[in-house]
Amino acid sequence: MTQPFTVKAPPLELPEPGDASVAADPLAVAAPPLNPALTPADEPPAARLGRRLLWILGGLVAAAVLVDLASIGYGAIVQPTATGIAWGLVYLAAVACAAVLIGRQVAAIRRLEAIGMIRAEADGIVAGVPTGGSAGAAAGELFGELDRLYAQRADTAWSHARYAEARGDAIDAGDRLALFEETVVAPLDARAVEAITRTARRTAVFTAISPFVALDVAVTLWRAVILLRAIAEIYGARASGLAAMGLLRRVLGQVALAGGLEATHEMTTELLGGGITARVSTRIGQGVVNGLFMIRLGVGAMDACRPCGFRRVARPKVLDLARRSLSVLRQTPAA
Amino acid sequence: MATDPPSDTSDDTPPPSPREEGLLGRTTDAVTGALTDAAAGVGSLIGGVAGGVAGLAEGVAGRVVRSVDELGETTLRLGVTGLARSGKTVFTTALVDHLLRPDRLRGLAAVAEGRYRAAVLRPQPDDDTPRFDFEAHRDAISAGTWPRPTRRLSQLRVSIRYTPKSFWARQLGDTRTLNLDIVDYPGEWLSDLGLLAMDYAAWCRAVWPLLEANDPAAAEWQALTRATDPAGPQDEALARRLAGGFRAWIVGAAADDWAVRRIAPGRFHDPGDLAGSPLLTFAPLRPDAGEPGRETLWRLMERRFDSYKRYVHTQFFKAQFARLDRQIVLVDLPGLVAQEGAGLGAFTALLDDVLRCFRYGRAPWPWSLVSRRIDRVAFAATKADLVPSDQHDRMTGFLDALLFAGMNRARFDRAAVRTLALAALRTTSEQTVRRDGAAHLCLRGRPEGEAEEVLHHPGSFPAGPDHLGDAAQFRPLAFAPPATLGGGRALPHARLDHALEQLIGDALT
Repeated sequence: MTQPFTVKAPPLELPEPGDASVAADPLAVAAPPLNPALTPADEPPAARLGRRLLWILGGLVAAAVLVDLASIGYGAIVQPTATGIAWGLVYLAAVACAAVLIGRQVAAIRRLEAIGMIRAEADGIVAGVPTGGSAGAAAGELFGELDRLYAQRADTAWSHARYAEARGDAIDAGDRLALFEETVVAPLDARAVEAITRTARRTAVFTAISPFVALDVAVTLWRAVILLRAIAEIYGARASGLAAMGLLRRVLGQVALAGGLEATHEMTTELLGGGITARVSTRIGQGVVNGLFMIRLGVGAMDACRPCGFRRVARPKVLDLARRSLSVLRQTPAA
Repeated sequence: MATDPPSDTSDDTPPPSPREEGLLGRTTDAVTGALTDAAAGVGSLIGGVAGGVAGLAEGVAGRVVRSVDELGETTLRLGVTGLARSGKTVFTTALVDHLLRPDRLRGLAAVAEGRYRAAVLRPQPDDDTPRFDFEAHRDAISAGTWPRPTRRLSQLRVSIRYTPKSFWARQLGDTRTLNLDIVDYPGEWLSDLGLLAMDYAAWCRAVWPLLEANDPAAAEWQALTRATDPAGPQDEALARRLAGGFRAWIVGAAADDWAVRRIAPGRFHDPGDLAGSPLLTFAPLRPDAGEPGRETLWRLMERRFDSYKRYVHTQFFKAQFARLDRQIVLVDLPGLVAQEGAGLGAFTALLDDVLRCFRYGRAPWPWSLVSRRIDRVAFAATKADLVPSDQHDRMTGFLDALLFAGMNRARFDRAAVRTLALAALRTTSEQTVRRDGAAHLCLRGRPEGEAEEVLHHPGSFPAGPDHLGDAAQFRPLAFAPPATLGGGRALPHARLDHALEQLIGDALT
């Protein structure tokens, strides 16, 4: 691009106090915050609540592990065999591994940038003036953030370049955001959907064949966290604030439900003496439940990690994804 | 709505006087002209009624024939309303070009949703109107020049094929066709619509105050007009001198004085075949001379003024404007503001006169078959590419304030109204420049008549018509079309897609 040859002196007036029309001038210099000490504390209450939920979740998992350990340990005490003790050790090692793996995933997610502010700004712009040309200070900041997130990444550089080519046409912030969604975000959506269906399928199949309650819970939890991380990485940012808390609560609820359902079913089959078919169909039902949960969680994560809401691109439907990924279970009962 | 031709001239038929017999060569014109006028006057009483019925029948028949012709096709007439140099021709050219090549029309829902198939140019419905020379204008723009001012009326039809949005409509046929008829005409003619509401006396009263300002170029004519006695004899030579001076005055002054443009008969600018006809041989006379008698110069001028109005009404208004379905009003806001508000009131008054002539809203069902009304209007502040985009809100606000009365009437009549800042052809790109510690969004483009690009900041656009004290802070620069517009690419624009969505978006569903 050639450099400008002439710059005409802009006859701009300085903002005058009390003049509303001048104050509305987007070119006016933004005033610094009055008192930096008055800025809100770093940690919002939502994050604190989220941490508490994390503790509760950890406690729940620990409880599940203890239940399993107790049953294994009871067997080892009543009939102390080498096999029983070995099982116990293996189990402990597996649980420790799972804890480490999950912890690393969570840490990786925490390293990504929170996207909540960008989302809020984008939604504000869309909700604001749909026609006016207010590519004002807020919009400029928003698009700067988006560029920072996606222009340098190798996997989005190409689509971002296409967006950068066309964005001169989109003068209004709403138009530009729509263009961004179509060119840059839509390919990421496709990848996120792919990740969701893959995870859902694997979770469903594993749940259908897993032998232990706690293992089931741990693997589901692990996969959920991996999925969250994958989606966050696809969009280059993690959910923050309330969205993150919502996701966490969803994971928590599902884990509790999975454990509870499993225990109940196990007990009923024990009591009623169901045959192998009943047992298998129960496991498959559990697989479907966990797969569906994974899809719902994934779509929620997409919603939370996306830099803008679903406007031009349609939100993926849970049922469509379920049909695509969970049909694999239909073949399983025959086996 | 003052569109009825006057019908009270029948008693003014002048019997040829001895004096006129003597001046046979020069008065023949006047006599025949007067006789013709009188005949037309007698006829107009009957013709007014009969014409109404006949017009109605013609309208119904025309629509039936056309409906059979274009079975399953929708036709919309788009009126591009703008005074001279508001960018009608460029707008029409760009509009057609984008419809043919919809790559840059993301804001048009049919394009964004992938339902827009293609558009082609088709023969226009009116065989007696010249075709809008789209290709020539497009070539001029591609070559980096602006199209020349429009001198005559022309028409073009674009046919758009699209897929309907609703499921049931798709079952009837997977595609539909929308015919869009666009008319281009000289902007000077628009002031004629304001004249339709006046009679000759009112017109003279409107012109007279403008003669107070002494224009050195027209001093001789002004003196002659002041000295002429409206009750004097019907002297054709005098009439021609008066009309000639009047024409020279309005053509000379029209470039910069909106008040003069408001009362200027449009055909005086470019008479074409009408040059020298009695239709264009009239001029204002002193309006305060009391009731003039028969066979006076005043009566002669009055008859011709009425004939002119009748001509405009049938040729221009009825033929082109009475049948519009959609309308876009173009206002060259940067140009208007750059004049530092001189004549802003007169401009608003002129445009308001024009807007009063249109019928807005939606006729109820049986009437909607024969009567057409404008149900969607876009008010566009054009040449938005001369203002940085962070000030476009101000342009829109300015236009809202300026044309509030007209917009309000259209809204009241249930038309959908939208205001936007528009550049049919964008000549600039934007770039932020740091200067004196502040960031300014600047325009980058090639000024007209220069070879190299510059970065330009026009200053602050005034927040409204009552902020014109700031107008000195705003200095737009005239840019030429970018040199790289050929090569089959769609032209750059600003919000033309939004304008189209407002105008025809509902017809493409």
